[in-house]
Amino acid sequence: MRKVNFNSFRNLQIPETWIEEALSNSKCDEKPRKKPIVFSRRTLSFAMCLIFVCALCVALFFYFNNDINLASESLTETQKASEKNKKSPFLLQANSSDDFGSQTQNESQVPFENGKNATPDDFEFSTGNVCTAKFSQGLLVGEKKIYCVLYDYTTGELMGDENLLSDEHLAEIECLDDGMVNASYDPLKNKVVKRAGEYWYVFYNELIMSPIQGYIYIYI
Amino acid sequence: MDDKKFAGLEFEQVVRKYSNTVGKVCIMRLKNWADAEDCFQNIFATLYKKSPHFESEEHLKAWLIRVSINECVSFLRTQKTLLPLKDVVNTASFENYDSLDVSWALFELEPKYRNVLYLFYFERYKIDKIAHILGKKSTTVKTLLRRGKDKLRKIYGSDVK
Repeated sequence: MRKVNFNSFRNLQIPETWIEEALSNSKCDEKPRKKPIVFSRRTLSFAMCLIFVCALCVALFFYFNNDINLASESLTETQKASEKNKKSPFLLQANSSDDFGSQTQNESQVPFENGKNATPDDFEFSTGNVCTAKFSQGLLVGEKKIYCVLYDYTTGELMGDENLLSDEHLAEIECLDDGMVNASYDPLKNKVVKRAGEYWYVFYNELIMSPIQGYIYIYI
Repeated sequence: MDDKKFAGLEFEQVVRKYSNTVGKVCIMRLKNWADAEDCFQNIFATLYKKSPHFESEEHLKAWLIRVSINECVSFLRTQKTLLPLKDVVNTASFENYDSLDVSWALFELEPKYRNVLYLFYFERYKIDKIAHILGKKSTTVKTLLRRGKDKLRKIYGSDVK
């Protein structure tokens, strides 16, 4: 038997052009690589969380800063009002809310005279935004409603008038035959305190941070 | 070109040293000179881009052969055409040293026999090594080798060994 061979395939040479092309292709692929920016999911999610937290902090800062500004403004207004109160002979001095001692009012200084009005005998103002008024006379028996108008001395404005009475400043008061006063109140807006032998009611105006000073003046 | 090392060799050294091996695997598999060239370029480009770690030159050579076979398989999958043998003969420029040269007969075999025979006769690999490169069992390689030789014998005639 004669032996066969694979000489021609064994001796097959790859052309030099193939080798040169393979080498040149690798050189073309060798470009200066820029540092890749990491856009991995982890990095992006971390960045988004960070941005969210920062935005939240900024929002909270401005929210509380706004509240602080309002409080500081109210204090400023309080200070102004107390200054004016000291100066004006028409107004009572502001007292603490615990002190219900009577102070007489200068009756000649009632600022408003339109309509039937019954000025309280006594009223006092707290340092906050609570105003109490005591009525010993002037309320008619059987009257169901008494509307009170608040006059904000600090701004020189009526909080409402007989035509534009807002619910925020109303307290519905019923006059009883024994002179006592029943009053209903909106706990969110007005608080009424009833004491035996006294007629008080308290205006608690949440909307106005500065104390209400001035005359309480009632339309019947 | 940066200093990429492949089993201690520069890229150019690797290309020059193993170009025949890779080229012959491609030619044998594809039976087409132009397609073999394309795969040849792809294989070395892959080597350069991926730059895997090689423990030794043997490891590198085995990797190249394996990747060459895989590259040819994927190429054929996309091409789905095989040229007749005469095109390979015309383009490969086989030199018939003697009438007993049966290189042409290799191309008549199925690819699975060709791979094994090439690695056994041309690269002089042992059965175990061939099994490792091709990802097959040793017994399978032995069987393919035996059957491949039988088929080869039938193709070139049984009067020669």
